Amino acid sequence: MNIRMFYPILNILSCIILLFVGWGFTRSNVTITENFIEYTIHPVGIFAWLVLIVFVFMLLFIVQRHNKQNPDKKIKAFSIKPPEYNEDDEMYQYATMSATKKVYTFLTWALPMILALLLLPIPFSKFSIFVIVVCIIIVQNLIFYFEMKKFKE
Amino acid sequence: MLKNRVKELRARNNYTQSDLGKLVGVTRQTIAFIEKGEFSPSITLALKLSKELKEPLEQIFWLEEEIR
Repeated sequence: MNIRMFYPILNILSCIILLFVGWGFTRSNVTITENFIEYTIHPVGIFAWLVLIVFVFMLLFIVQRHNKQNPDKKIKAFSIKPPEYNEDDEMYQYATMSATKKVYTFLTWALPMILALLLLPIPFSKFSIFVIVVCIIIVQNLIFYFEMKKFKE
Repeated sequence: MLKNRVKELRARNNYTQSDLGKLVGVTRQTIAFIEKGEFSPSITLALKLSKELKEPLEQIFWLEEEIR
């Protein structure tokens, strides 16, 4: 299995878990009195947070296994350069360029549209903004995945 | 559209896609996509293929509308 090919899917999975984390945390209560500050996190938030930690460890395990099997094509789970970039040869460089171009095109219109949406006189909750951002991340990863998939035999 | 005889010449030289890929420094998948005409190689890669397939460049690659 080429992990770089499926990395956008792993990104999407982590975003879905993050949605639950966001849902739980935005439903947390903060009680401030003269003597103390009480912060109560919704159980869904705590559970999703734990699931996210387990997911990150699984991801690290998958990356470590990939690096052992492909010592010449090592990737880093957390680096500035996204691990899903595949630049093994000129065709994959072209594929990555084509995929990033499509993602850039999407972000070019999606981000201003969202800014315009936030300007509307609608009382957006913290969670709804969270959902919008997660949706953008999911779509950009889907675009990248499907473009790279065209170059998979 | 760029057409080619890579598949035919590779078979003539008894190379697998992996063999040819290793000789010219690309992946097997890239050779497969070139053979299908779905990826146009750079001049550098085309020259390397020409060398390994022992044929002049114009005998391997040509534009569809051209008469060879």
